[in-house]
Amino acid sequence: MERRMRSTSRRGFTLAEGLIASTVLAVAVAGVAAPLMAAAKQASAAQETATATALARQLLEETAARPFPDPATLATRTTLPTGATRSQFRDLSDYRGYADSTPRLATMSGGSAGVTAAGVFRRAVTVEYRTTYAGGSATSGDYALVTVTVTPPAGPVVSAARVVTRWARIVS
Amino acid sequence: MGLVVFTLVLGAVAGLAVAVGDGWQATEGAQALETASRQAAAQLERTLRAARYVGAASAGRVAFWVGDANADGKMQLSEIGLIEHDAAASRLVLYTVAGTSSMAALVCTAGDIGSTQDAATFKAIPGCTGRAMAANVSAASFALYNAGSTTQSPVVEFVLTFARGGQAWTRYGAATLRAEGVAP
Repeated sequence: MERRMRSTSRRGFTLAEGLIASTVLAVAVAGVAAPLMAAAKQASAAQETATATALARQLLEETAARPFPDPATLATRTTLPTGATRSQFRDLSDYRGYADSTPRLATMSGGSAGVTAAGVFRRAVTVEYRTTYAGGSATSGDYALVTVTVTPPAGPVVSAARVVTRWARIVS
Repeated sequence: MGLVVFTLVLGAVAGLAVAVGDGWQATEGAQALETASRQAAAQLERTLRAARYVGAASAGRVAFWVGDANADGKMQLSEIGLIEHDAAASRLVLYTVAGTSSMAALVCTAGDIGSTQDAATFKAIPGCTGRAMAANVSAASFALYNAGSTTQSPVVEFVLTFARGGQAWTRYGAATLRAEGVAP
Protein backbone atom coordinates (compact mmCIF):
# COMPACT_ATOMS: atom_id res chain seq x y z
CA MET A 1 0.00 0.00 0.00
CA GLU A 2 2.75 2.35 1.00
CA ARG A 3 4.72 1.50 -2.17
CA ARG A 4 1.72 2.32 -4.40
CA MET A 5 1.26 5.71 -2.70
CA ARG A 6 4.86 6.56 -3.32
CA SER A 7 4.66 5.76 -7.02
CA THR A 8 1.51 7.85 -7.61
CA SER A 9 3.07 10.87 -5.91
CA ARG A 10 5.85 11.04 -8.55
CA ARG A 11 5.75 14.15 -10.77
CA GLY A 12 7.57 15.47 -13.88
CA PHE A 13 10.11 18.30 -13.77
CA THR A 14 9.78 20.84 -11.04
CA LEU A 15 10.16 24.50 -11.88
CA ALA A 16 13.51 24.57 -10.13
CA GLU A 17 14.76 21.62 -12.16
CA GLY A 18 13.56 23.22 -15.38
CA LEU A 19 15.26 26.50 -14.56
CA ILE A 20 18.51 24.76 -13.71
CA ALA A 21 18.41 22.77 -16.95
CA SER A 22 17.58 25.91 -18.93
CA THR A 23 20.44 27.80 -17.34
CA VAL A 24 22.86 25.02 -18.18
CA LEU A 25 21.54 24.97 -21.75
CA ALA A 26 21.77 28.76 -22.06
CA VAL A 27 25.38 28.71 -20.91
CA ALA A 28 26.14 25.97 -23.45
CA VAL A 29 24.42 27.93 -26.25
CA ALA A 30 26.31 31.07 -25.29
CA GLY A 31 29.53 29.07 -25.44
CA VAL A 32 28.68 27.82 -28.93
CA ALA A 33 27.43 31.20 -30.18
CA ALA A 34 30.68 33.03 -29.49
CA PRO A 35 32.82 30.94 -31.89
CA LEU A 36 30.01 31.01 -34.45
CA MET A 37 29.96 34.79 -34.38
CA ALA A 38 33.75 34.87 -34.59
CA ALA A 39 33.63 32.54 -37.60
CA ALA A 40 31.05 34.75 -39.33
CA LYS A 41 33.20 37.81 -38.65
CA GLN A 42 36.23 36.01 -40.02
CA ALA A 43 34.36 35.03 -43.20
CA SER A 44 33.26 38.62 -43.69
CA ALA A 45 36.82 39.87 -43.21
CA ALA A 46 38.11 37.28 -45.70
CA GLN A 47 35.61 38.50 -48.30
CA GLU A 48 36.60 42.10 -47.68
CA THR A 49 40.26 41.20 -48.11
CA ALA A 50 39.48 39.38 -51.36
CA THR A 51 37.63 42.42 -52.71
CA ALA A 52 40.39 44.77 -51.55
CA THR A 53 43.06 42.60 -53.18
CA ALA A 54 41.16 42.54 -56.48
CA LEU A 55 40.76 46.32 -56.43
CA ALA A 56 44.45 46.81 -55.66
CA ARG A 57 45.48 44.43 -58.44
CA GLN A 58 43.26 46.24 -60.93
CA LEU A 59 44.90 49.61 -60.31
CA LEU A 60 48.42 48.18 -60.18
CA GLU A 61 47.81 46.33 -63.44
CA GLU A 62 46.62 49.57 -64.98
CA THR A 63 49.77 51.41 -63.96
CA ALA A 64 51.81 48.73 -65.77
CA ALA A 65 50.54 50.19 -69.04
CA ARG A 66 51.97 53.64 -68.38
CA PRO A 67 55.41 54.76 -69.41
CA PHE A 68 57.99 55.90 -66.91
CA PRO A 69 58.11 59.70 -66.84
CA ASP A 70 61.26 61.45 -67.90
CA PRO A 71 62.81 62.59 -64.58
CA ALA A 72 63.97 65.81 -66.25
CA THR A 73 60.40 66.86 -67.02
CA LEU A 74 58.86 66.10 -63.64
CA ALA A 75 59.35 69.61 -62.29
CA THR A 76 57.88 71.37 -65.30
CA ARG A 77 55.08 69.05 -66.36
CA THR A 78 51.58 70.43 -66.80
CA THR A 79 48.81 69.28 -64.53
CA LEU A 80 45.86 67.34 -65.83
CA PRO A 81 42.56 69.19 -66.22
CA THR A 82 40.13 68.94 -63.32
CA GLY A 83 37.94 65.88 -63.60
CA ALA A 84 40.35 64.06 -65.89
CA THR A 85 39.66 60.35 -66.03
CA ARG A 86 42.38 57.71 -65.69
CA SER A 87 42.23 57.04 -69.43
CA GLN A 88 43.79 60.50 -69.83
CA PHE A 89 46.73 59.75 -67.58
CA ARG A 90 49.98 60.16 -69.50
CA ASP A 91 52.44 58.26 -67.37
CA LEU A 92 53.09 56.91 -63.88
CA SER A 93 53.38 60.35 -62.36
CA ASP A 94 49.72 61.08 -62.98
CA TYR A 95 48.86 58.32 -60.50
CA ARG A 96 50.63 60.14 -57.67
CA GLY A 97 48.05 60.85 -55.01
CA TYR A 98 45.23 59.26 -56.97
CA ALA A 99 42.38 58.11 -54.73
CA ASP A 100 38.87 56.78 -55.20
CA SER A 101 36.31 54.85 -53.21
CA THR A 102 33.14 52.83 -53.47
CA PRO A 103 30.35 53.29 -54.43
CA ARG A 104 31.80 55.85 -56.86
CA LEU A 105 34.67 53.63 -57.92
CA ALA A 106 35.23 54.62 -61.53
CA THR A 107 36.42 52.75 -64.57
CA MET A 108 39.26 54.24 -66.61
CA SER A 109 36.81 56.19 -68.72
CA GLY A 110 35.00 57.54 -65.68
CA GLY A 111 31.98 55.23 -65.72
CA SER A 112 30.82 53.21 -62.76
CA ALA A 113 32.79 50.05 -62.06
CA GLY A 114 29.67 48.61 -60.49
CA VAL A 115 31.45 47.43 -57.38
CA THR A 116 29.01 47.43 -54.50
CA ALA A 117 29.87 46.64 -50.93
CA ALA A 118 28.32 46.86 -47.51
CA GLY A 119 30.91 49.44 -46.49
CA VAL A 120 33.31 51.81 -48.19
CA PHE A 121 36.50 50.59 -49.87
CA ARG A 122 39.11 53.33 -50.34
CA ARG A 123 41.98 53.12 -52.81
CA ALA A 124 45.04 55.31 -52.81
CA VAL A 125 48.17 55.32 -54.94
CA THR A 126 51.63 56.53 -54.10
CA VAL A 127 54.50 56.80 -56.57
CA GLU A 128 57.85 57.17 -54.86
CA TYR A 129 60.93 57.89 -56.97
CA ARG A 130 64.34 56.49 -56.16
CA THR A 131 67.76 57.04 -57.61
CA THR A 132 68.74 53.41 -57.00
CA TYR A 133 66.63 50.27 -56.78
CA ALA A 134 66.93 49.91 -53.02
CA GLY A 135 67.56 53.57 -52.31
CA GLY A 136 65.51 56.04 -50.34
CA SER A 137 62.77 58.31 -51.61
CA ALA A 138 63.86 61.10 -53.97
CA THR A 139 62.13 63.86 -55.91
CA SER A 140 63.01 62.09 -59.15
CA GLY A 141 65.00 59.11 -60.24
CA ASP A 142 65.29 56.19 -62.57
CA TYR A 143 63.28 53.92 -60.28
CA ALA A 144 59.80 54.25 -58.86
CA LEU A 145 57.92 52.29 -56.26
CA VAL A 146 54.22 52.23 -57.09
CA THR A 147 52.04 51.27 -54.14
CA VAL A 148 48.28 50.79 -54.19
CA THR A 149 46.66 50.73 -50.76
CA VAL A 150 43.08 49.60 -50.29
CA THR A 151 41.30 50.20 -47.01
CA PRO A 152 38.25 47.97 -46.56
CA PRO A 153 35.36 48.90 -44.27
CA ALA A 154 36.51 46.66 -41.40
CA GLY A 155 39.14 44.17 -42.55
CA PRO A 156 42.90 44.67 -42.68
CA VAL A 157 44.43 47.18 -45.10
CA VAL A 158 45.70 45.61 -48.33
CA SER A 159 48.76 46.92 -50.17
CA ALA A 160 50.18 45.90 -53.51
CA ALA A 161 53.43 47.33 -54.85
CA ARG A 162 55.60 47.20 -57.94
CA VAL A 163 59.01 48.65 -58.67
CA VAL A 164 59.45 50.05 -62.16
CA THR A 165 62.46 51.54 -63.88
CA ARG A 166 62.98 53.87 -66.79
CA TRP A 167 64.28 50.98 -68.85
CA ALA A 168 62.23 47.97 -67.85
CA ARG A 169 59.70 46.82 -65.33
CA ILE A 170 60.75 44.77 -62.36
CA VAL A 171 58.09 42.43 -61.09
CA SER A 172 58.04 42.53 -57.31
CA MET B 1 5.72 24.47 -15.27
CA GLY B 2 9.32 23.30 -15.47
CA LEU B 3 8.46 21.31 -18.58
CA VAL B 4 6.97 24.40 -20.23
CA VAL B 5 10.08 26.47 -19.56
CA PHE B 6 12.28 23.67 -20.81
CA THR B 7 10.20 23.34 -24.00
CA LEU B 8 10.44 27.08 -24.63
CA VAL B 9 14.20 27.01 -24.24
CA LEU B 10 14.50 24.00 -26.53
CA GLY B 11 12.38 25.80 -29.10
CA ALA B 12 14.68 28.82 -28.90
CA VAL B 13 17.72 26.59 -29.30
CA ALA B 14 16.17 24.93 -32.34
CA GLY B 15 15.42 28.34 -33.83
CA LEU B 16 19.00 29.41 -33.24
CA ALA B 17 20.31 26.23 -34.87
CA VAL B 18 18.12 26.80 -37.95
CA ALA B 19 19.27 30.42 -38.19
CA VAL B 20 22.91 29.39 -37.88
CA GLY B 21 22.41 26.73 -40.56
CA ASP B 22 20.81 29.25 -42.93
CA GLY B 23 23.61 31.70 -42.24
CA TRP B 24 26.24 29.11 -43.00
CA GLN B 25 24.51 28.14 -46.21
CA ALA B 26 24.31 31.75 -47.35
CA THR B 27 27.95 32.40 -46.43
CA GLU B 28 29.06 29.26 -48.22
CA GLY B 29 27.17 30.31 -51.35
CA ALA B 30 28.70 33.79 -51.29
CA GLN B 31 32.18 32.40 -50.70
CA ALA B 32 31.82 29.88 -53.53
CA LEU B 33 30.69 32.64 -55.88
CA GLU B 34 33.54 34.88 -54.80
CA THR B 35 36.06 32.07 -55.33
CA ALA B 36 34.63 31.32 -58.76
CA SER B 37 34.79 35.00 -59.71
CA ARG B 38 38.40 35.19 -58.55
CA GLN B 39 39.37 32.17 -60.64
CA ALA B 40 37.57 33.54 -63.69
CA ALA B 41 39.20 36.94 -63.34
CA ALA B 42 42.64 35.36 -62.93
CA GLN B 43 42.15 33.24 -66.03
CA LEU B 44 40.91 36.22 -68.01
CA GLU B 45 43.83 38.37 -66.88
CA ARG B 46 46.34 35.64 -67.73
CA THR B 47 44.84 35.11 -71.19
CA LEU B 48 44.73 38.79 -72.07
CA ARG B 49 48.12 39.68 -70.60
CA ALA B 50 49.71 37.03 -72.78
CA ALA B 51 47.91 38.22 -75.91
CA ARG B 52 49.99 39.65 -78.74
CA TYR B 53 47.40 42.16 -79.90
CA VAL B 54 43.84 43.15 -79.03
CA GLY B 55 41.71 44.13 -81.98
CA ALA B 56 38.54 45.21 -80.27
CA ALA B 57 36.67 45.05 -77.00
CA SER B 58 33.06 45.90 -76.42
CA ALA B 59 30.21 45.12 -74.07
CA GLY B 60 30.42 41.36 -73.84
CA ARG B 61 33.19 40.61 -76.37
CA VAL B 62 36.96 40.79 -76.90
CA ALA B 63 38.68 39.85 -80.16
CA PHE B 64 42.42 39.31 -79.93
CA TRP B 65 45.55 37.65 -81.27
CA VAL B 66 46.19 34.93 -78.68
CA GLY B 67 49.84 34.46 -79.61
CA ASP B 68 52.17 33.76 -82.46
CA ALA B 69 52.10 29.97 -82.15
CA ASN B 70 54.26 29.31 -85.20
CA ALA B 71 56.47 32.37 -84.65
CA ASP B 72 56.08 33.63 -88.20
CA GLY B 73 55.02 37.13 -87.19
CA LYS B 74 51.68 36.68 -88.90
CA MET B 75 48.24 36.34 -87.40
CA GLN B 76 46.69 33.11 -88.58
CA LEU B 77 43.04 32.33 -88.05
CA SER B 78 43.94 29.55 -85.62
CA GLU B 79 45.73 32.15 -83.48
CA ILE B 80 42.69 34.38 -83.07
CA GLY B 81 40.63 34.28 -79.90
CA LEU B 82 37.17 35.63 -79.18
CA ILE B 83 35.95 35.94 -75.62
CA GLU B 84 32.21 36.31 -75.52
CA HIS B 85 29.60 36.52 -72.82
CA ASP B 86 26.87 33.98 -73.49
CA ALA B 87 23.98 35.67 -71.72
CA ALA B 88 21.58 32.77 -72.30
CA ALA B 89 23.86 30.25 -70.64
CA SER B 90 25.41 32.77 -68.19
CA ARG B 91 28.89 31.78 -69.28
CA LEU B 92 32.05 33.45 -70.48
CA VAL B 93 33.32 31.51 -73.48
CA LEU B 94 36.65 31.58 -75.32
CA TYR B 95 36.25 30.69 -78.99
CA THR B 96 39.23 29.59 -81.07
CA VAL B 97 39.66 27.86 -84.41
CA ALA B 98 41.36 24.47 -84.20
CA GLY B 99 44.70 24.06 -85.94
CA THR B 100 43.22 21.19 -87.91
CA SER B 101 40.58 23.42 -89.49
CA SER B 102 40.76 23.85 -93.25
CA MET B 103 40.89 27.60 -92.70
CA ALA B 104 43.37 27.56 -89.82
CA ALA B 105 46.30 28.89 -91.87
CA LEU B 106 44.37 31.84 -93.29
CA VAL B 107 46.37 34.99 -92.53
CA CYS B 108 44.32 37.72 -90.91
CA THR B 109 44.85 41.46 -90.66
CA ALA B 110 44.23 43.83 -87.79
CA GLY B 111 41.08 44.93 -89.59
CA ASP B 112 39.69 41.40 -89.40
CA ILE B 113 39.53 41.61 -85.62
CA GLY B 114 39.03 45.37 -85.47
CA SER B 115 35.40 44.91 -84.55
CA THR B 116 33.45 42.45 -82.45
CA GLN B 117 30.45 42.70 -84.76
CA ASP B 118 31.57 39.71 -86.81
CA ALA B 119 31.48 37.31 -83.87
CA ALA B 120 28.76 35.16 -85.45
CA THR B 121 30.83 34.80 -88.63
CA PHE B 122 33.90 33.82 -86.61
CA LYS B 123 31.97 31.24 -84.61
CA ALA B 124 30.60 29.75 -87.85
CA ILE B 125 34.11 28.98 -89.17
CA PRO B 126 34.67 25.22 -89.49
CA GLY B 127 36.65 23.98 -86.49
CA CYS B 128 35.73 26.92 -84.28
CA THR B 129 34.93 25.70 -80.79
CA GLY B 130 34.11 27.40 -77.55
CA ARG B 131 35.58 26.64 -74.16
CA ALA B 132 33.82 27.91 -71.05
CA MET B 133 36.06 30.22 -69.03
CA ALA B 134 33.54 30.94 -66.31
CA ALA B 135 30.02 30.01 -65.27
CA ASN B 136 27.30 32.00 -63.50
CA VAL B 137 28.31 35.18 -65.34
CA SER B 138 25.17 37.27 -65.53
CA ALA B 139 26.81 40.30 -67.15
CA ALA B 140 30.15 41.17 -68.72
CA SER B 141 31.59 44.28 -70.26
CA PHE B 142 35.02 44.96 -71.71
CA ALA B 143 36.77 48.13 -72.78
CA LEU B 144 40.04 48.60 -74.62
CA TYR B 145 42.35 51.52 -73.87
CA ASN B 146 45.57 52.76 -75.44
CA ALA B 147 44.86 50.96 -78.70
CA GLY B 148 47.37 52.19 -81.25
CA SER B 149 49.31 54.22 -78.68
CA THR B 150 53.05 54.33 -79.22
CA THR B 151 53.85 55.19 -75.62
CA GLN B 152 51.35 53.20 -73.57
CA SER B 153 50.52 49.51 -73.51
CA PRO B 154 47.02 48.33 -74.40
CA VAL B 155 44.77 47.72 -71.40
CA VAL B 156 41.61 45.63 -71.40
CA GLU B 157 39.33 46.60 -68.58
CA PHE B 158 36.53 44.28 -67.54
CA VAL B 159 33.55 44.23 -65.24
CA LEU B 160 32.06 40.79 -64.64
CA THR B 161 28.96 40.17 -62.59
CA PHE B 162 28.47 36.72 -61.15
CA ALA B 163 25.07 35.62 -59.87
CA ARG B 164 23.77 32.44 -58.33
CA GLY B 165 21.06 31.56 -55.85
CA GLY B 166 20.04 35.15 -55.23
CA GLN B 167 23.63 36.24 -54.57
CA ALA B 168 25.61 38.53 -56.86
CA TRP B 169 29.26 39.46 -56.99
CA THR B 170 30.89 42.06 -59.24
CA ARG B 171 34.51 41.65 -60.24
CA TYR B 172 36.31 44.68 -61.65
CA GLY B 173 39.72 44.14 -63.16
CA ALA B 174 42.20 45.02 -65.86
CA ALA B 175 44.82 43.29 -67.94
CA THR B 176 47.76 45.08 -69.52
CA LEU B 177 49.32 43.39 -72.51
CA ARG B 178 52.93 42.43 -71.88
CA ALA B 179 53.61 42.21 -75.60
CA GLU B 180 54.08 45.33 -77.69
CA GLY B 181 50.44 45.19 -78.67
CA VAL B 182 51.00 46.37 -82.21
CA ALA B 183 49.15 44.97 -85.18
CA PRO B 184 51.09 42.44 -87.25
